[in-house]
Amino acid sequence: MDKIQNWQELINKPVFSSDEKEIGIISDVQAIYVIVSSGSITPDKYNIPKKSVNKFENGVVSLDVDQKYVEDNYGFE
Amino acid sequence: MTEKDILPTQNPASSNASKLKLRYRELLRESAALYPKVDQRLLLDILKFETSYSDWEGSVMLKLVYPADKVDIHSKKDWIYSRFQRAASIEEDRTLRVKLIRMYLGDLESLLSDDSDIEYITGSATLSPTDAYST
Repeated sequence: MDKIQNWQELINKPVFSSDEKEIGIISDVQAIYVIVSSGSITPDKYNIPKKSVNKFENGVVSLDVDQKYVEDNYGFE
Repeated sequence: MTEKDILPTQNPASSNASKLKLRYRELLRESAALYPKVDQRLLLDILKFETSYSDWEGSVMLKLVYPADKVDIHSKKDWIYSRFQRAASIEEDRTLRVKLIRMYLGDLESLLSDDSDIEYITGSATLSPTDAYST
Protein backbone atom coordinates (compact mmCIF):
# COMPACT_ATOMS: atom_id res chain seq x y z
CA MET A 1 0.00 0.00 0.00
CA ASP A 2 1.14 3.54 -0.79
CA LYS A 3 2.92 5.18 2.17
CA ILE A 4 1.48 8.55 1.19
CA GLN A 5 -2.24 8.85 0.52
CA ASN A 6 -2.24 12.27 -1.09
CA TRP A 7 1.04 13.27 -2.70
CA GLN A 8 -0.23 16.73 -3.58
CA GLU A 9 -0.37 17.70 0.09
CA LEU A 10 3.43 17.37 0.18
CA ILE A 11 3.90 20.43 -2.04
CA ASN A 12 5.85 23.20 -0.26
CA LYS A 13 6.73 20.87 2.62
CA PRO A 14 10.34 20.59 3.85
CA VAL A 15 12.29 17.42 3.07
CA PHE A 16 14.85 15.85 5.40
CA SER A 17 17.28 13.03 4.66
CA SER A 18 17.68 9.96 6.90
CA ASP A 19 20.63 11.69 8.63
CA GLU A 20 18.29 14.60 9.42
CA LYS A 21 19.81 17.13 7.01
CA GLU A 22 17.44 19.54 5.28
CA ILE A 23 17.36 18.86 1.54
CA GLY A 24 14.84 21.47 0.40
CA ILE A 25 11.16 21.99 -0.31
CA ILE A 26 8.94 19.83 -2.51
CA SER A 27 8.09 22.02 -5.48
CA ASP A 28 6.35 19.49 -7.68
CA VAL A 29 4.97 15.97 -7.64
CA GLN A 30 5.37 13.87 -10.77
CA ALA A 31 4.39 10.31 -11.67
CA ILE A 32 7.59 8.66 -10.38
CA TYR A 33 9.41 11.51 -8.64
CA VAL A 34 8.93 14.37 -6.26
CA ILE A 35 10.89 17.45 -7.31
CA VAL A 36 12.72 19.08 -4.42
CA SER A 37 14.11 22.59 -4.75
CA SER A 38 16.75 24.12 -2.54
CA GLY A 39 17.76 27.80 -2.58
CA SER A 40 15.96 30.84 -3.89
CA ILE A 41 17.73 32.60 -6.80
CA THR A 42 18.91 29.62 -8.83
CA PRO A 43 17.61 26.69 -6.83
CA ASP A 44 19.28 23.28 -6.95
CA LYS A 45 16.76 20.67 -7.96
CA TYR A 46 16.54 17.00 -7.10
CA ASN A 47 14.30 14.36 -8.65
CA ILE A 48 13.73 12.03 -5.73
CA PRO A 49 11.92 8.76 -6.43
CA LYS A 50 8.65 8.50 -4.53
CA LYS A 51 9.86 5.14 -3.23
CA SER A 52 12.60 6.97 -1.30
CA VAL A 53 10.03 8.96 0.65
CA ASN A 54 9.82 7.28 4.00
CA LYS A 55 7.05 9.19 5.71
CA PHE A 56 5.19 12.47 5.99
CA GLU A 57 4.67 13.41 9.61
CA ASN A 58 4.09 16.70 11.43
CA GLY A 59 4.42 18.64 8.17
CA VAL A 60 7.86 17.20 7.42
CA VAL A 61 8.81 14.76 4.65
CA SER A 62 11.46 12.19 5.58
CA LEU A 63 13.58 10.21 3.14
CA ASP A 64 15.12 6.79 3.62
CA VAL A 65 18.46 7.91 2.13
CA ASP A 66 21.10 10.22 3.55
CA GLN A 67 22.14 13.66 2.32
CA LYS A 68 25.24 12.41 0.51
CA TYR A 69 23.20 9.89 -1.42
CA VAL A 70 20.72 12.59 -2.41
CA GLU A 71 23.51 14.95 -3.50
CA ASP A 72 25.30 12.21 -5.46
CA ASN A 73 22.31 10.65 -7.16
CA TYR A 74 19.34 12.95 -7.40
CA GLY A 75 20.62 16.46 -8.21
CA PHE A 76 19.78 17.30 -11.81
CA GLU A 77 19.66 21.10 -12.16
CA MET B 1 -39.66 34.21 -0.04
CA THR B 2 -38.81 30.96 1.79
CA GLU B 3 -35.37 29.73 2.81
CA LYS B 4 -35.71 27.04 0.18
CA ASP B 5 -35.96 29.73 -2.51
CA ILE B 6 -32.84 31.50 -1.24
CA LEU B 7 -30.67 28.40 -0.76
CA PRO B 8 -30.97 26.12 -3.76
CA THR B 9 -29.98 22.51 -3.03
CA GLN B 10 -27.71 22.32 -6.05
CA ASN B 11 -25.93 25.12 -7.82
CA PRO B 12 -25.73 24.24 -11.55
CA ALA B 13 -22.59 26.34 -11.92
CA SER B 14 -20.73 24.41 -9.23
CA SER B 15 -21.90 21.18 -10.79
CA ASN B 16 -20.24 22.19 -14.07
CA ALA B 17 -17.10 23.12 -12.18
CA SER B 18 -17.03 19.73 -10.48
CA LYS B 19 -17.50 17.94 -13.78
CA LEU B 20 -14.65 19.88 -15.34
CA LYS B 21 -12.33 19.28 -12.38
CA LEU B 22 -13.11 15.58 -12.48
CA ARG B 23 -12.27 15.37 -16.19
CA TYR B 24 -9.08 17.36 -15.60
CA ARG B 25 -7.98 15.00 -12.83
CA GLU B 26 -8.66 12.07 -15.16
CA LEU B 27 -6.50 13.73 -17.82
CA LEU B 28 -3.67 14.19 -15.31
CA ARG B 29 -3.93 10.57 -14.22
CA GLU B 30 -3.87 9.32 -17.78
CA SER B 31 -0.98 11.54 -18.83
CA ALA B 32 1.04 10.35 -15.82
CA ALA B 33 0.34 6.75 -16.78
CA LEU B 34 1.21 7.24 -20.45
CA TYR B 35 4.28 9.46 -19.91
CA PRO B 36 5.53 8.62 -16.41
CA LYS B 37 9.02 9.97 -17.13
CA VAL B 38 7.87 13.35 -18.43
CA ASP B 39 7.29 16.47 -16.34
CA GLN B 40 3.53 16.87 -16.41
CA ARG B 41 3.69 20.64 -16.84
CA LEU B 42 5.85 20.26 -19.95
CA LEU B 43 3.60 17.51 -21.29
CA LEU B 44 0.43 19.57 -20.87
CA ASP B 45 2.06 22.65 -22.41
CA ILE B 46 3.08 20.66 -25.49
CA LEU B 47 -0.40 19.12 -25.66
CA LYS B 48 -2.01 22.55 -25.45
CA PHE B 49 0.21 24.16 -28.10
CA GLU B 50 0.05 21.16 -30.40
CA THR B 51 -3.73 20.91 -30.29
CA SER B 52 -4.55 24.63 -30.20
CA TYR B 53 -2.18 25.89 -32.89
CA SER B 54 -1.88 23.78 -35.99
CA ASP B 55 1.17 25.79 -37.10
CA TRP B 56 3.03 25.49 -33.78
CA GLU B 57 6.62 24.62 -34.57
CA GLY B 58 7.24 22.44 -31.55
CA SER B 59 9.65 24.82 -29.85
CA VAL B 60 10.87 23.28 -26.63
CA MET B 61 13.81 23.40 -24.31
CA LEU B 62 14.34 19.88 -23.03
CA LYS B 63 16.25 18.74 -20.00
CA LEU B 64 17.00 15.04 -20.27
CA VAL B 65 17.96 13.60 -16.91
CA TYR B 66 20.02 10.40 -16.80
CA PRO B 67 20.84 8.19 -13.81
CA ALA B 68 23.92 9.44 -11.96
CA ASP B 69 27.13 7.52 -12.73
CA LYS B 70 25.35 4.93 -14.83
CA VAL B 71 25.68 6.44 -18.28
CA ASP B 72 28.38 8.24 -20.23
CA ILE B 73 26.78 11.66 -20.46
CA HIS B 74 29.20 12.75 -23.21
CA SER B 75 28.17 9.90 -25.48
CA LYS B 76 24.54 10.83 -24.79
CA LYS B 77 25.36 14.38 -25.80
CA ASP B 78 26.84 13.09 -29.07
CA TRP B 79 23.79 10.92 -29.64
CA ILE B 80 21.49 13.91 -29.16
CA TYR B 81 23.60 15.88 -31.64
CA SER B 82 23.44 13.12 -34.24
CA ARG B 83 19.69 12.86 -33.80
CA PHE B 84 18.71 16.53 -33.74
CA GLN B 85 21.78 18.41 -35.03
CA ARG B 86 21.63 20.55 -31.90
CA ALA B 87 24.36 20.83 -29.30
CA ALA B 88 23.26 20.09 -25.77
CA SER B 89 24.89 21.43 -22.65
CA ILE B 90 25.62 19.28 -19.61
CA GLU B 91 24.30 20.22 -16.18
CA GLU B 92 25.09 18.51 -12.87
CA ASP B 93 26.91 15.69 -14.77
CA ARG B 94 23.64 13.93 -15.52
CA THR B 95 21.37 16.36 -17.34
CA LEU B 96 21.43 17.38 -21.00
CA ARG B 97 19.84 20.70 -21.82
CA VAL B 98 18.93 21.22 -25.46
CA LYS B 99 16.70 23.57 -27.43
CA LEU B 100 14.72 21.93 -30.19
CA ILE B 101 12.02 22.53 -32.72
CA ARG B 102 9.45 20.07 -34.06
CA MET B 103 9.29 18.28 -30.74
CA TYR B 104 5.72 17.09 -30.45
CA LEU B 105 4.19 14.51 -28.13
CA GLY B 106 4.86 11.70 -30.60
CA ASP B 107 8.51 12.75 -30.88
CA LEU B 108 8.84 12.78 -27.12
CA GLU B 109 7.46 9.28 -27.06
CA SER B 110 9.92 8.00 -29.68
CA LEU B 111 12.81 9.74 -27.91
CA LEU B 112 11.90 7.87 -24.73
CA SER B 113 11.51 4.59 -26.54
CA ASP B 114 14.85 5.01 -28.36
CA ASP B 115 16.75 5.86 -25.18
CA SER B 116 15.53 3.83 -22.24
CA ASP B 117 18.35 5.30 -20.10
CA ILE B 118 16.44 8.57 -19.81
CA GLU B 119 15.25 8.82 -16.25
CA TYR B 120 13.19 11.99 -16.40
CA ILE B 121 12.38 14.74 -18.90
CA THR B 122 11.59 18.28 -17.90
CA GLY B 123 11.94 21.67 -19.57
CA SER B 124 9.59 24.15 -21.19
CA ALA B 125 7.60 24.63 -24.36
CA THR B 126 7.20 28.04 -25.91
CA LEU B 127 4.70 29.32 -28.40
CA SER B 128 7.09 31.34 -30.52
CA PRO B 129 10.20 29.82 -32.09
CA THR B 130 12.14 33.00 -31.24
CA ASP B 131 11.70 32.31 -27.55
CA ALA B 132 12.82 28.75 -28.05
CA TYR B 133 16.27 29.93 -29.04
CA SER B 134 16.71 32.55 -26.41
CA THR B 135 18.65 31.70 -23.29
